This record gives sequence, structure tokens and C-alpha cells, in this order.
Amino acid sequence: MKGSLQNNVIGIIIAAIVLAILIPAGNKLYTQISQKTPQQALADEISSLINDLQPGTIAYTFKGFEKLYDLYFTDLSPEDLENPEVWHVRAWSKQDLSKPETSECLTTSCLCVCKDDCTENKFCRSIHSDSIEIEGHYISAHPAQALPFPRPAYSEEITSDKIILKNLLLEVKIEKTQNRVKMTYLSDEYARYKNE
Amino acid sequence: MNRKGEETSPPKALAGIILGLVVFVILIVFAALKLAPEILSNTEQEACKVSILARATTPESAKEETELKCTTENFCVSIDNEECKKYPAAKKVKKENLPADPDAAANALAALTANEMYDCWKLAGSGRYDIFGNDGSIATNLIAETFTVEEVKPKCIVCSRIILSQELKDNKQILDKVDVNRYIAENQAPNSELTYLNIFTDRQVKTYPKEFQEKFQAGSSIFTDDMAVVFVQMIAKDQSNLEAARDKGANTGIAIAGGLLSSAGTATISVLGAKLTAITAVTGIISSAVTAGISNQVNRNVIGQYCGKLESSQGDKYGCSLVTTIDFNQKDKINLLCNGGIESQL
Repeated sequence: MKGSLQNNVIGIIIAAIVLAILIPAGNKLYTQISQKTPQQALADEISSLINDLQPGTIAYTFKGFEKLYDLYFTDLSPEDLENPEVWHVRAWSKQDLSKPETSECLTTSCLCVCKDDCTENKFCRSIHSDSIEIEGHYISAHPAQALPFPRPAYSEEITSDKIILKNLLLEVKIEKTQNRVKMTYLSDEYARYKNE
Repeated sequence: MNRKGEETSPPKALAGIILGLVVFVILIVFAALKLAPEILSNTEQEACKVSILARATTPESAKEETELKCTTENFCVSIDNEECKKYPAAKKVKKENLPADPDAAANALAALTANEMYDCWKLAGSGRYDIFGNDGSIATNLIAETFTVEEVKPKCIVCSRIILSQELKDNKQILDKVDVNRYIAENQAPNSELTYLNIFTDRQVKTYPKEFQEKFQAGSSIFTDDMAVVFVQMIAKDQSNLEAARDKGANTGIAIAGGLLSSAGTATISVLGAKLTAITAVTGIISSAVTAGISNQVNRNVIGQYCGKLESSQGDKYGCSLVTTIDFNQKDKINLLCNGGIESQL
């Protein structure tokens, strides 16, 4: 009788442990199946906007999801731009040999929302244009330094082929001609710096 | 005929029932938590509300994992069913066609703005929920500790966006008559005996003091054809930090979010009659500096604000919340105001 009760208690504990493992797994599976991630949704939105666009220029506003605002009010650092953990938008023209290895990029130009240098975490979409280019303009602010190498505070302009997806409103200018798409992004700090 | 292996003793059966019940309860709790927004909500707004409640009641460590399911509601306001070309074709947009009579049209536009502000305010628990919490970063911890005004990083939900069609934008006959401030002072909020103004000011203000309108309109004008209704919240460690922030702001001229806001609006709020806490100064400043409207006549809308103890799973927490209208064309200003991040989806 005592042994049976012990067995049952052990059974319940094992069941609870199994459930504790299964529930988060089920949760993750449910999320993956039922919802588009913000990255997928953004890749869909931008690519369909570009593909449906008539030749001309538009301003388009969207929102990113990276929290890159620690410690400074300044813009991104060069480290942020090179940080593989940061989600960003990149694009490759049809003839570009460095395109990610994915079916969406195989025979066409493509645009990807990705991180890890677009190797593993990437959501790519075909762009129906021979050429596509992204130009992101940022400001990197460097604080003043005393010793050992004294220098005053200064700001540095950075141009990148990425749009870093900060968790704020981002406005891009999209120019489309018959065979070419160009997306230009000016960070808020860059625009302010240029206006000063 | 019972063989040994097939025997089911009462304690074993009882344990089986208990195990079954435990599994059932866990599954129900899981399903309720996970599927609640989808099951309980008929609309995206309800899903957002449920997720905000979930955030407010979630322990600090898990707040970041509890996703806010809030998506900006897009409105296109027009006459003669004209399209708003500023929205990309793929966006889900609600069309609001105004009546032909200019007075009725102006009233409908004011009502839409007031209702969107009200819905946003209610959605966020009238500013009393600790929605965003602490994101765990060193910077935010420091900010929560000191709440130095210059370093405040408020977070936002963009509840809705109201765009006027080109034809409506050019219709002065209608826009000159839109008076959102008057509308919220004179009309009752949905399902309430209180006016919008009562609700936005935590029942502190029933009518505008006489000099309010003059002072409120005296500042520079911000007219927009593209307006966002935004909920903003800042967190402080305790009440004294709010007081300190107020004092600091009063003496030095508050410069929140990188110099976006000047101290010019403080007088507005003291005229308005709300308690002069940090947020009243802040909201006054915001109303003065960035609050936009769609009317040509009174183009800065009143804001809803609350400053004090927040409902939080983390015990006593203090913060300030507000709902306001901002010109969506000025993205850099929205980013400065919400420089802790925008947590809703556009």
C-alpha cells in the first residue's frame, strides 16, 4: 500500500516535470505556427510595397524592434552596425554574387530582414527589379577622451548598406525606376546633425 | 477472475484521477493564458487590452517576454469616400466618411479624435498600469533610480493614426469648425456619466477656467493632416523621485527627451488646474510643444494624464502616463518623445 502510494507520487512528479518541458515547447510551437513574427511581417510589407510601386519616389514609415538606446542619446555606434545580433534590412541586386542562399534570392534581386550577417536568421523576399540598393546614413558620437590619447568629443558620419531596425519610427525614401530601386534612410540624429 | 496485473486498487485509481485533474487544470490554464487574446477578443483592440493587462500583472523578469498585441488602428477621414493615399495599399484602414453638413462634419471629426484618445486611455488602464516595466538594462535601472529629467526615456503605444483625405485637408469650411477641446469638455464619454475632460484629468477638471482657452491657443500652432494618438509612460522608483523631477524641471526648464520640450507649457497646466506633479509639468510642456490637432481653429488638443502609484506586480512603483495627439509627419519628434521605444505595431 505504502509502495503503491510512493509509486504514484513519483509518477505525478515525473508527469509534472514532463509537462514543465512540454508547455514551453508547445507555447513556442503555437507562436511559430499561429503568428508571423514582426520580422516576417516587415519583410512582407516592404517587399510588397516595392513590388507594387509604380516608378517614382515615396516616403514610407515603418517601425523596428531593436532596443538600441542604452546609455546614450546619440545614434548607433559602429559596433551596433557590425553587431551580428542586431536585426536590420539589407538588399542584393539580381547579379550580386554575395546574395544569401535562399530560394527567394536565387534568380531575382532580393530584400532580407535579417541578423547574423543574413546567414541563419533571415526573412528574404524577391524584388522584381534588376537592381536594388540601400543607403543608410548614421552618426556615431564619440565622447571626449583625456589620457592616454587626449581628443575632443566628435561626431562621425557613417554610411552603411543596412537599415538598423531600432524600436522607433523609421522613414525611408524609396525611389523606383524601370530597373532600379534605391532605399535611402537618414537616422534622426544624422538629419539633426546635418541641419545644425 | 481478476489477474494481479489488472487489479486497480482504490489509492491507485485516486492517484490517476488526481493526475488527470492536474493535467487538465494545467492545460486549461495554459490555453487560457495563451489563447486568451484570440478567444476573448472580437477585435484587435480587445486583444491589445488583454495583453496590456497580462503585462501589468506579469512579474518584472517576464515582462519583456509578454508580448504586447497592440496594432495601430488606421483611419482615413474623408468626404465623398475619397481614399487617403498616404497609407500603403496593404494597410488595413478604417474609412470614416463625414456628413455633408459642415457643422455635423466638424463635430464628427472632433468626436472621432476624442473617442480615439479615450479608447487609448482606457486601453492602457487610464495610465495606472505598469505596462512597460523596466527593460533590465543598466541605463534604465539608473534612470529609474534617479529619474533625472534629462534622462527620462518614456515608452509609447501608438494607438491610432488619423489621416485626412486631400479634399478634406483643403476644406476650410469644415476644419475651421473642428474644436476637439470643446468637444471633450462638453460631451460625455461612451458608457460614462463623466465628460471626456473629467476622465482625462482624473475628475479634477470639470470645465476649463476662463483664461485656459486663451492661454492654450496663444502658443504656436501645429496643424496636421496626419495625426497619431499616442500613449506615453515613464517609470520612477518612488514618489520622491517624481517630486525631485518636478523641482528640477521647475528650476531649470525641463528638457525631456533631448531638448524636445521646453518649459513654456507649464503655465498651461497650472491654469488647467490639475495637480502640479512632474507629469503635469511634463504634459503641459508636451501639449505646448508637440500636441497637434486637425482643426484650423484650435489645433492643440488637451491631453489625458496620470501621475502617481502604478498597479504593478512588483509592489510599489511610481510613474507618469499620458495620452496625447502628435503630428505623425514629425517622426523625429515622436522618436524623441518615445525614445525608450514604441511597443505597438504600426
